[in-house]
Amino acid sequence: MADLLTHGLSAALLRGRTAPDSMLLWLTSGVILPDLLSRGSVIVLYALKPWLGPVEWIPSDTDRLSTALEIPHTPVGIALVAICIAMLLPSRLSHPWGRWRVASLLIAGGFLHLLVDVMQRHLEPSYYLLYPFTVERWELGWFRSDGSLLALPVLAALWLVLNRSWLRRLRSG
Amino acid sequence: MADRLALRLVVAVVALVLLVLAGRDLSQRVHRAELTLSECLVSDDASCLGRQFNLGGLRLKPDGALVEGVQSAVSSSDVAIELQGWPLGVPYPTAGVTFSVIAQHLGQQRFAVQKAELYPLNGMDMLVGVIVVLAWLASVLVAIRRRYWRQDLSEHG
Repeated sequence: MADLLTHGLSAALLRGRTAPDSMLLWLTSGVILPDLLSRGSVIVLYALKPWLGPVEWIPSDTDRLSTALEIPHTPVGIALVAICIAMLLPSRLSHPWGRWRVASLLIAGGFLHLLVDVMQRHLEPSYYLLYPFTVERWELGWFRSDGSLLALPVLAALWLVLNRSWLRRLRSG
Repeated sequence: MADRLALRLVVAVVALVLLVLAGRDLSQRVHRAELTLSECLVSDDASCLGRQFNLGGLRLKPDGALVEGVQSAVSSSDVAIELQGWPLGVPYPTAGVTFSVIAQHLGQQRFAVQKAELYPLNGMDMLVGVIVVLAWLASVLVAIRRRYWRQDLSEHG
């Protein structure tokens, strides 16, 4: 996986020359959730394991648990998570976009996340892009999985250049 | 209004159930015909040949005999980095400096590394991730507070 700042900046760059708004927040949330739910949950579950004891629905094997929790990192999982969040969201928070627009923004963010991730190279392809039709994994292999950190300064500079007028306004109050 | 809330809850629960079922299904389909590295290490199964194993996901000890096969193929300093690279003892690839290997089965519970790749920046990746998640949570909380605060202002003057 590429680092989360790269993912966040990809959402901000996609949004372009606009002040941060709730649309960007939903898009960024969509970009962050695949890693937060798939990678973050494994870390949290394993940290909690001594307290949870033997729980049937948590596979005892790390490999299997990691694979099961890979679902929010697939296109199908991204859509299901987005629908779930949009449906449970209080009306006030979905305003003015509406639930389905919020779900669309979360899905767009999630797909942007996958687009950045799929450009990476691992020893073997890592992403279940066509689940449930197949469990075959794909990736393009254009850069190393931890190589996105090297691109961070460039992405950050690009974002600053694009948003310099907004930042100037923010500074002048 | 109440009906719409019920419908929303039903859709959300269905999506949640599908997520859990899909997770179980994916795990079962991926692992049905395959053995994990820990199983391979004790079974000497030929189906382990050429499979990729992510060592970051296993609690391997540097003094363990079964790890020797791995240690002999990559430099010992690499292994030391990998084993020390789990902050908070979390055995997960993104949690520190890790590497993946494709192991070659040598028989008699021994494996050699066919192909390996170090991810020395994964520790930094984790640190950046934590900072971004905290910043994201803060912005979500600010957005929620603003939304409710504004609505309260407009409702109560």
